[in-house]
Amino acid sequence: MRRFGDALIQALHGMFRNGLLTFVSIFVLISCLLFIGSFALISRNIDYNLADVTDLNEIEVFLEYDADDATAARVEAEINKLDNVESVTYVSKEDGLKEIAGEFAEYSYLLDDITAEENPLSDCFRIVYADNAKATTLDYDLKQIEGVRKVNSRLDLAATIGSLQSGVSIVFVWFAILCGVVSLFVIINTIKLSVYARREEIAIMRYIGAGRAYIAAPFVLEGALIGIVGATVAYFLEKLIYRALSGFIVSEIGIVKLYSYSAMTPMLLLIFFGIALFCGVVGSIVSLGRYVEA
Amino acid sequence: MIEFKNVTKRYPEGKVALDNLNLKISDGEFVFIMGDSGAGKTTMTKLLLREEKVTSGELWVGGVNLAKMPSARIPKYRRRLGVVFQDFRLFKKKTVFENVAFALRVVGGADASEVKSRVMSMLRIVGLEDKAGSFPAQLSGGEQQRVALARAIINNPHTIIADEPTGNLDPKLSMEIMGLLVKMKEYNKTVVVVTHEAELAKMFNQRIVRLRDGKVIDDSFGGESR
Repeated sequence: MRRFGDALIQALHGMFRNGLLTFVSIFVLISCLLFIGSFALISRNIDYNLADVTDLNEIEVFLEYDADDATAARVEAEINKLDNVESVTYVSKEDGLKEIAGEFAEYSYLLDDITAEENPLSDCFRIVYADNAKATTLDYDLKQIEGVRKVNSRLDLAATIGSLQSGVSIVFVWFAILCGVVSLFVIINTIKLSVYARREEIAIMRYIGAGRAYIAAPFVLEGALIGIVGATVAYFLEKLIYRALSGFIVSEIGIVKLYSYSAMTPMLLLIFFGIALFCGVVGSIVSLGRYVEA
Repeated sequence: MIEFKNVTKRYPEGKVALDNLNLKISDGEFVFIMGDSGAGKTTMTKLLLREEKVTSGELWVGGVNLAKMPSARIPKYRRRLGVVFQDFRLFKKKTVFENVAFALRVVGGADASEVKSRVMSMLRIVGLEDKAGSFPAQLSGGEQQRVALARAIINNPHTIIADEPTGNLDPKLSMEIMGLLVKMKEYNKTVVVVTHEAELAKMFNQRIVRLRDGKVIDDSFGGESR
């Protein structure tokens, strides 16, 4: 505990000794975290709004014309076993005909002559699936079920939604990596300055027999403190920006739904503190380099 | 026991600093290592501190072959040594007490009261107990070197290595520091003092090993051949 206290005091000394560079490091880290955080918030809200679009992700499975109740029950059971199936609704060919009649009420006379025996439709299942990315697989699996005559799906729409979501994710990940590298670079240089200023002390520590961990601890803590300060400030700044912008968006573009900031707090804290601590700690370890070698 | 067995040290640029050197130093012995600039004295110190590795041969210190010691063991090995340098190498922003206590804290295991009593006892040995609260800049060169010596012995090392310990001191202070190092024999320490001050070494009537071009050219006691 005393060692931790000593290391913490030295870390704080280091931060103040490199005042300007420490400030620059924290500033760059905050900027990068704000970019990453904003992108994460936008990405989450796009997903949130796309979720409504995915309600249209429905597949219709038509049974053979002569399928009896037992076949329908077997097919339903097989559909329910498949991955990615969220709900299954049975629509008999009689109900199907009624739906068409309802949709085209003004042309209902065209259907007047069709009797139950002459019904050209077949019984069907309407399936709502969960994941657009797996829609093609589900489509294929449904076609393999015995007793299924035809499968109607909106794979093009599903593919578009899927590629949009994964595109957003890929851009987000690369953006996060780029910002992380910039922050890491700045923190490495700050800690390097700290290490250089204390190189004589480090040399004495080595001769006395201090181990790597003992020598490295104050510098790693300094990096971690830069990370913690940066992440904390970035979190509250992001909150202010998000609240201001979301209020504007909701009032000006009514159809867009937005998450509340508190709903995304765990995700943001994880991203901010994860990236900031990673940059701080890894940056310190990289900076120490040969200075801690025995 | 310190033993150099056919030790050769060649630096990457090709310079041979030690050339098939053989030397034994018994436990509790005091040895001056002397020689002109470039004779291999500093390299010897660096090898003993395991700052450098031998190119060939074996170097045994306290039953450990330094040539084969993994890097991870070096800090622990150094805690069994006491090191004194020409430039004192004290922490400028720490007091005398804190400088000496630091070596104890690196090793760990001592509580505050034990640290205090051991540090004060070391400062008594080197005659600086009244300077515990002073900073290095407030001390004379001789006093700073005595602080370095107190720091070197606080962890009860089996060997003390002093690299030109009187290089920055006037003759009177040099005598004082050498006297303290010789006194370490009373505490059963092996003491290796690297120096180029032949006259000073002769005055203490101890073993003197002379190096030239990385080889032992003379091994005598108080200047008389053994």
